[in-house]
Amino acid sequence: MMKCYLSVLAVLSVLALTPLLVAQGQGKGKGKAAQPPPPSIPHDPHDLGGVWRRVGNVLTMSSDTPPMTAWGKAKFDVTKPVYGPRAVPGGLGNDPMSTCDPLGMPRNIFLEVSIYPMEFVQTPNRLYQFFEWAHSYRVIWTDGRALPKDPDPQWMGYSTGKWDGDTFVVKSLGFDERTWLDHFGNPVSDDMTLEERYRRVDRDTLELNMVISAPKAYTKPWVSEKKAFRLAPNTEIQELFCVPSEEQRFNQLVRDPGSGIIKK
Amino acid sequence: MKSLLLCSLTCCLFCPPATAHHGTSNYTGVTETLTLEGTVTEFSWSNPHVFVLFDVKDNNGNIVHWAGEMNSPGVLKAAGWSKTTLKAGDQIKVTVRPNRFGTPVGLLSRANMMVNGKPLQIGPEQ
Repeated sequence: MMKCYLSVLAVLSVLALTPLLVAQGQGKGKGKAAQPPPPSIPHDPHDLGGVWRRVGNVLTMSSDTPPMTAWGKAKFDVTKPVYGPRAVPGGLGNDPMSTCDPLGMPRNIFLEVSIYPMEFVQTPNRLYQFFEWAHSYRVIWTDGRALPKDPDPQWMGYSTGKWDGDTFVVKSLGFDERTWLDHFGNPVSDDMTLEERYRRVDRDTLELNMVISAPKAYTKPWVSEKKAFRLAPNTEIQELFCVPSEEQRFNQLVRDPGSGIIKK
Repeated sequence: MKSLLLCSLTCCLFCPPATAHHGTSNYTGVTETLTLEGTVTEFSWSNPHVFVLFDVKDNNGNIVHWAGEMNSPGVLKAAGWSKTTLKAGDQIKVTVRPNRFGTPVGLLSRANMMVNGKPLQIGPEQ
């Protein structure tokens, strides 16, 4: 079902982009052989700094969700997402996002890049990853420290990163299993580890591959499809807090009545 | 007749849809839209959702209090909007995707908006 849903999304995305692609193709020489891509503008492959927007849909790890354990399935079954094949009207869902709970990782990747940008800021001993949604950030330590053995759960987990050639490898653990992995309600477990591999393939393109391993929730690791981001040099991260009091009023005046919930 | 409810179901296949980060499954498809004319009572520039409250007269002359869901202030700001783009008392003509439950709440499209009789020409998306 999920495959079907994502396939439909992919088709719709192509359809939505078609006029743009056609428009971009107009005026160029007809019948000419395809020109090779221009050489990459010089860049430092070890500099991830900048604001990045997603290319295409980045809604979850991949369409190939691994089988869940009984624990994972039970956790999944009680979720009421407002997206995807199991979507319920917004006011009837139980997505923690609807009450401004932190999204955690890796969901910040999926949400942020689906609408909002993210930004990397590098310092000598850590890298900050800012997310426009909820005006939040995570720290990726690059000072050579080891991951903690048994950390207390955190919404964003605990992350370290290092370069493997031109690929920046981030390893994280210690996640809070109250989060959802994605919009669809896939589970996160507190034994989850996340590996992210970022590579700036040219000045304007950042690629990301991820693997999660969460034996408590899934029977095998979940390998992502390749994600891509495009540099957005003239974009500033906006102050997009999820303000509980404002969200509560929105729920009262818009989301709940729009979902057929009438409170007197 | 300034607040006449048009209630015309329109085929709007190519209208740029309003997007929402919280899901839109409670709203009708993008092809089923309503065009409404009414008077703004509040423009709430709130995070993470901006919304517009406006009064519309139905065919019987009764006032119906509508709510139009929009995106976040950041997204609207990038499209050229500000918290003063709409204000109470403005006469608006808008297109919404109504919800499936028959209540006066809709997902508001920024395309082809009319404010006080003039097209709202603002931002790169207009």
